[in-house]
Amino acid sequence: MTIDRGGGEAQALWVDLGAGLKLALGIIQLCQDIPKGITDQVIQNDMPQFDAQQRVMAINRLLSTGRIDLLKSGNQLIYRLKNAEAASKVKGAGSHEKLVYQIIEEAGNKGIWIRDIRYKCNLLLTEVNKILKNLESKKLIKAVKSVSLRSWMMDRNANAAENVLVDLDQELEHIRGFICGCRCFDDGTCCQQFMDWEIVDTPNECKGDNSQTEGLRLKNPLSCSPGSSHPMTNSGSICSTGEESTHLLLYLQNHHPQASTSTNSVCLTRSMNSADINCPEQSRHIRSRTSPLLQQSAHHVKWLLPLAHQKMTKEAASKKKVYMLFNVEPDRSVTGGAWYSDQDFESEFVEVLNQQCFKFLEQKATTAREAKTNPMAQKNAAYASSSDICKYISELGISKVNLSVEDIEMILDTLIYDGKVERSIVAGGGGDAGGQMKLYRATPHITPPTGLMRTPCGVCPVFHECHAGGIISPTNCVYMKEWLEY
Amino acid sequence: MSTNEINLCSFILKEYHGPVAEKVGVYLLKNGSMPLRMIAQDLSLKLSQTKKTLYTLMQHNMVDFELHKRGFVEYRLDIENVLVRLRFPRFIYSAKMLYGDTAELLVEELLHHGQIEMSRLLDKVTERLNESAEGGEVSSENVREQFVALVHTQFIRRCLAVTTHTTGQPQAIPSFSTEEQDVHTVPTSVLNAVDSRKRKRSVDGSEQATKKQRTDTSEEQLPDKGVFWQIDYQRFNHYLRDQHIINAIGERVDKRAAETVRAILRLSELSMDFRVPTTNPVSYHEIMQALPKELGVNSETLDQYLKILVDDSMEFILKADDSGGGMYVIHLKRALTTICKAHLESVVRERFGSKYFRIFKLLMLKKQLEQKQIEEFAMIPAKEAKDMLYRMFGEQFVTITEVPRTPDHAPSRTFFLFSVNISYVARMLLEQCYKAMFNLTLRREHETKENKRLLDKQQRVEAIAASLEQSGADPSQRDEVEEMITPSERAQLARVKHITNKLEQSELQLEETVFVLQTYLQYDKLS
Ligand code: SF4
Repeated sequence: MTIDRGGGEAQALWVDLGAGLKLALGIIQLCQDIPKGITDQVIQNDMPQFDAQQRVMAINRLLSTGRIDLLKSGNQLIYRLKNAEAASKVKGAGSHEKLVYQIIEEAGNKGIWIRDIRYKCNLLLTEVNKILKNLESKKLIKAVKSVSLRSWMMDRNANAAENVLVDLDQELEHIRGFICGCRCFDDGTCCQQFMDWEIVDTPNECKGDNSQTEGLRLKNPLSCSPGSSHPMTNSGSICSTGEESTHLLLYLQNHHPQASTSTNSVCLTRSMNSADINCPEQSRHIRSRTSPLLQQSAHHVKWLLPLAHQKMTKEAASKKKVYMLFNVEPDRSVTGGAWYSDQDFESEFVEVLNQQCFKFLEQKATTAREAKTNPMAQKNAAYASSSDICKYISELGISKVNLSVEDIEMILDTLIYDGKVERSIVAGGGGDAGGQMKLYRATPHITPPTGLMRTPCGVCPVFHECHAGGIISPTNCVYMKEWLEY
Repeated sequence: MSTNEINLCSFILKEYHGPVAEKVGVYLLKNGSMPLRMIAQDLSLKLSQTKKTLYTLMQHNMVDFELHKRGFVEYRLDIENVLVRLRFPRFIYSAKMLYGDTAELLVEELLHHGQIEMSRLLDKVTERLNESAEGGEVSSENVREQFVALVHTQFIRRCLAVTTHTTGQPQAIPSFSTEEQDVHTVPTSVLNAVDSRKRKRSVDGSEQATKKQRTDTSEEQLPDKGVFWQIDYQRFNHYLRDQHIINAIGERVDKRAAETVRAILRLSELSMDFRVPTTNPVSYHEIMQALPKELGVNSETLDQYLKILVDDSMEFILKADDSGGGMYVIHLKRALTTICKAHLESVVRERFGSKYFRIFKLLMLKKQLEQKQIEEFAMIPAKEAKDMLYRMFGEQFVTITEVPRTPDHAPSRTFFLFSVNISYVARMLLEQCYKAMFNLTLRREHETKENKRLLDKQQRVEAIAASLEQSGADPSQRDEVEEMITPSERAQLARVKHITNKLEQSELQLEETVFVLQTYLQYDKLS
């Protein structure tokens, strides 16, 4: 079993870390052999051919990718395989399942997208699907609907900054997003470039026959001004040509300078390999048009067309689902916090809370006013801190979910925007020492409804059409009439 | 000048000064400054008629004149002084609230005449007071004092005196003395003249004198001839503005805080130039002394009130200095902005609803936001928020700024920032107010016209009944006359009365909005 497992690990590692990682592989295997953990000495003894520098690098890599844990025993550092107990959990499962499980576990409470799982384990989609279903039925993992892909993507971006491996994946993400058109990224901030594209059925020109295939097209050709020298404005709507690929490369170059051309090439290669199709005509086309810098990678772009042919709908449907371990509480960015249930915004819930908070504050203000103490005390008595309000709300028991003070503060903010409440911040007061305390109090409107709104014309739906002597005029106005009779 | 404004002006002119005045007024509004002959010719009016109309309008401070370079005189309509007509009821009411019935009548008469000599005004008011007051005669002395008081508090001002030309050459336009500062004092010569006349008359025997005077006024050589008085609109506007500020504080904190603010405003009101954004500094002790005793505010409470007011997030009241127990000023501009905002908010809340209002207020607080941020802050589902935002955008309550990331302004690469431009919204609403006001007045006119016959009849019947009563006829006769109005007619009359009352009341309320918006825009222009 261990050998089998090791094989799986190795495969994953080779993909993730690239060449030259024999050492890392060796470490993993050592760890598996000695589940209690290994010291640096052990590694050195086992593989004397690597020097200290290489060892450090390899270990750091393993640590950063979360393969191993660093423990301290006495004054010695011990490396241990991270998933020692996870492995026991999935006992009896195949190596692929274990791998998927591990990947999901790594994702923590943020969850992981099925597409990412696929790229991390390099398995076929159908297989991944099967494994996921399997794990789900065993109640080892669960699928959580993510509120917005965007927040999840952004989180990823943040984490990925220093991790080249993930960076590669991210590039892939961009490329795939590009292929899927705006569907995957319709609210992504980083992918505005793709907003103009959509997948359409177009006559397949490459094949020279009239069969319909999917291609990419500018959603709105007008949104691209001629001055921008966008190739599409001239060529119309068909775009299963190589030009977008050029575009794409340019885009990657411009927007992700940290990912070098070679990075792009790598991921393009990978895409190409996974897609397994060539289209030499395309690449020639591109080479002739792109800058010399890009030319070296231009031949990688062949993948574009075939990928566009793939049906993406299935993935689009599941794009909002992320997987995580069964007993993990999903992160806020996934569930959207207390305000979402099943990724729908619960506006009614928010409204109820909004009203209750206001009621609380208003009551407080009234009692303060009636107390007839001196004005300063009166003002101070009307204030309530956000934690007080939070307590009150949770005691009311209107909410099934646990509301944090921050949640309540969000609600109180809406009350500020409603113009019913004002906030003052006291430094260092109350609860957490040194922090600030946010105080809220209900404030009345300073004017009664203004005169304009007390006339029928103020709320009149045909105000702008109303003219003296016109079809709608003050003299024959029905609103006026009703109002006057009243 | 918008169509709405012109419409409203023309209506006011027609209602109070007749159709010819309306014609001339609108002509001047549309064409700007114009010489007399042009006016007469373009409107095909007789020269004398035009002249007379211009007299009237000048009398009511609506028309100004100036000498053109080429040597002819041009006339110009002052639109503000026309629109201020709508505010007269409030002026009169303020005078009554401040100084009582006598002041009310003084202001009313003065507004009615536009410009008038002091002696004539005093006579008229005394007369009216005596008519209404049963029993005890109101002394003219009292009226005189009241008048002087109003002049001192600057609610009434002297019209600029015409200086006599020394050269003896006839000039195209009269020149005025420009000693502005003495317009708020009653010159002793005038006082003496008025007084001496009084004395003379009381020697004559009061009964006769009044009678005689009533018939003679036109010919009689007035003792203070040539010295005219008029209402100081600006001063009244300030008073009303202060009332708004005081009320706002009253709503926000409480009555006593409002009184404190009133004291500060009072202390600095007479020495104020309206072009500065803050009042003069007032010291703590001065405020203490100015506060009415019956409020029972001791120094400790006052301390607290001032602290609350200074700390308030509206920031109306500022502490200018620590000397003299603390010097306080009221930031008028900020106060007006806050009040104006409150009115704008009220419009949004009433017209669209509270969710819209939340977005509107959010934008006012945070200045520039993207759509996404608005949804998140306001906690309104994206779809609804979009609807609301776009509707308000459509009605021009919200404006958009485009921030392109690329020079080609492609929508996909552009940030769209929403914001609220307060002075823009205020101006737009002011326009709407003018239009609504015009609609109301038009409707009122319409209702009166519809029932003109009935109203005339009622007037006639009432006149007959009154004369019968005077001649001492028995009540049965009077009842008979009054029965000429049938019950159904009576009901109709009641209805008309109800409607006109309601419309007039709304006009007054609407005027308040107009006032706030106008004043805010004035302050907005200052900086
Ligand atoms: S008069 Fe009637 S139709 Fe005209 S704006 Fe007013 S309410 Fe609307």
